[in-house]
Amino acid sequence: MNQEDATRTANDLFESWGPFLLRYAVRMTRSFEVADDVVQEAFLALFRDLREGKRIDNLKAWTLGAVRNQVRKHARYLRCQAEELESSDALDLMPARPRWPDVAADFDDDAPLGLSVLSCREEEVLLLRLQSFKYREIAGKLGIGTKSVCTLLARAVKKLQIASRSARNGELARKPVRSEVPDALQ
Amino acid sequence: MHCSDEQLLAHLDGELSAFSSRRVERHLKSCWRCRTRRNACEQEIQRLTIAVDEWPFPPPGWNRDAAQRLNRRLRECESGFASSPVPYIRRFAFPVSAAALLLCLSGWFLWTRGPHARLRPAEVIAQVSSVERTIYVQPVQQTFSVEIAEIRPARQTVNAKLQIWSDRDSGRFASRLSAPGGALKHALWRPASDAEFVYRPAVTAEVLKQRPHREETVSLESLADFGLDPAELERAFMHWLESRSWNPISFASDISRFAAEDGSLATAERIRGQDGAPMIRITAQRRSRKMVAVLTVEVDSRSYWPRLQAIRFETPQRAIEFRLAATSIQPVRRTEMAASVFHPEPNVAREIRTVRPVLPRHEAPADPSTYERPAGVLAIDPRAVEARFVLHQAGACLGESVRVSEETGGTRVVRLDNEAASYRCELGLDYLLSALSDLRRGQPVPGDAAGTRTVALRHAWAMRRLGEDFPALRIADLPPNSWQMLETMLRDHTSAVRRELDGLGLQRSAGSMRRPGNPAWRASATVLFGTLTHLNELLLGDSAVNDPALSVAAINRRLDDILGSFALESGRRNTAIR
Repeated sequence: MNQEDATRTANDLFESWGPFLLRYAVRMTRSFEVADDVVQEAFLALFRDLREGKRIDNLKAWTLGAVRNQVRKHARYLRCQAEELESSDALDLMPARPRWPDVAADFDDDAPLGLSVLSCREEEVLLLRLQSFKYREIAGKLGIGTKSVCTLLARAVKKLQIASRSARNGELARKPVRSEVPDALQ
Repeated sequence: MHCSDEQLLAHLDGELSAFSSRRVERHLKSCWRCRTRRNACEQEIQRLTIAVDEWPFPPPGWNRDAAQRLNRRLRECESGFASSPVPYIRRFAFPVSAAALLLCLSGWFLWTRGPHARLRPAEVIAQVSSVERTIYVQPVQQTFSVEIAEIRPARQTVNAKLQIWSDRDSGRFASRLSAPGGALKHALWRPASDAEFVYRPAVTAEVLKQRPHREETVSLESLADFGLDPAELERAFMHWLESRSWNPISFASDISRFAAEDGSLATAERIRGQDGAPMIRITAQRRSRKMVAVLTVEVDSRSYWPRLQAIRFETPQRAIEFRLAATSIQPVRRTEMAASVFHPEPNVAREIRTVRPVLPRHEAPADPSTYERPAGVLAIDPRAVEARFVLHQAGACLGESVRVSEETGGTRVVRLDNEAASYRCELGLDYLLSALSDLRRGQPVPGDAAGTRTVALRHAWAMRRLGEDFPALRIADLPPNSWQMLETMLRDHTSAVRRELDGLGLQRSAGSMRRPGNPAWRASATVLFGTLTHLNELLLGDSAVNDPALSVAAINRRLDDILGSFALESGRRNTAIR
């Protein structure tokens, strides 16, 4: 594919699909800056492959896969850094290891969706379903079964129902403790 | 039964099968609770969808800003992309590497399998063996030109022609070794698997019908067992022919037997034959303390057809080569192969002496005073008797393992399992080793079966060999001590057989040396042979004679005959000397 076609394809897709990918990446990484980088990198990779003439059937699914790979890479980086920090003697003098990235609260609190009650996998499935992916497509993308997708979705909806009922009744929704790195992506 | 959350959600999403969907639909019509849950679920989805649409994320300016940044990065990427050869490398990497791999593979194939490839002896031997198997599975006629060339100390050549007819399926076989003039030197005939005839004119003018046997084929190296003289080598070749178990001559099996099965001791090279045809020569060498033996096999390089087999024996004093060149190897149809070639020829087989199953009749005693050794019969060397006696004392004639070592002025023979049984003689090491090798040919191995029967059989075999190796006509001129040695050996064996017969618990006839027996040693040897064959049958249990006691009595009589005839022979000799 020549440069013009590749640029146009990437730009068109970014306009329609970029916001969702950013939301998805933010939910996964809990960091706006990291999510922004991840999305940019995913589109750059798409551009490179288009220029090299590789055949890509489903552009949305391809970029989602690229974002997932980038998020996984980022999670691995975080884990390595955490191990290095733990093994360092200098850390004995430090009061506490800062959570990094410590921005999760921003996105949990200002999110009107109440998605924080969901597990990573449930949230991932729900976000994809909100983009009108079929169960089969979600299952193929996440590498799980169609029945699992149905179960995760039903569980997510149930949790959200309970959370919104509690919110209506003025109670605080129970917030599950989530690790810094999403389990499903480790 | 109410619907599950999953069923309700899948129904809402249209992901249920038509059957399940209809069932859920029917249930929802009748069930308030499930319908309420379905509606609640739908409401939640609706709320979520609206919330997502209204969610002010990403921030309003992000889209434009991010698109600009993306375009900038795309341009950077494109500039690097245009100047970098990586895309082209990636595009052409697979075809180029595939072509290179193909080139390497074809080069390797040509190098290892092509006409100039390095030859692997094991593979060549396997190919020759495969070709020979294909030929010899059908009736075949082979003609070889035999050449025994003495190189050192004198240069002389003995030529002969060897013809072989073999029909493996019907068990028929014939071989003829003839001199250049056509005179028959040696012949084997096997018209059927139960009849075998051998003609050895150097030993006897008669065609001998022998008991059907199958010996283990021996290596070509055994050609040196008789000595390195052309005549001795020819005699050894005749023995070798008799030991081939009625198979056509196979160069592949000979070289693999000589050079180890995997061909690890052999080398292979490409040569040009005398007619300029490309050939492959396989060479294997065996080196012993006394001698070097080099076996060479030449085959056609394209068809692997056998052409020539030669074995060369070298010692510091002597060098001799035995060559077997294939003149023709032709598969023949069974119908075209004349049955007469498998039968002794009428002009040769004037008298076929049958040695079994009928026991030989006694010949009339000859008058001792008129006895004279016919002219032209070679006398036996007294050293042969002495060598045999030493080996007999050490138990080698019964198949026991012995060690022969050289010492000052003679040779020592020690029985391996009994170091005290050590015997010395003044014969040379070579001579004694040669005698031992001769004795070992066809000898039953001790330990393959235990018990009285095998012990008796080994003694029987030793007596038979004595009869064969020292016939009366050839021992007449022996000195008295040789006669004593012969008699001692014979008495040892007969008394051992008698002991074993006593061990069977059967009554035997009383008295020994009661009858004078057959005075001619050669006839006695025949009697001995027949007797011991009979004994063999009896002890193996396949005798036609039903009464073992009678058989044992008959055997005892035969043993008496043997000793009696020997004593008579000895007495006649003493009379003649006086």
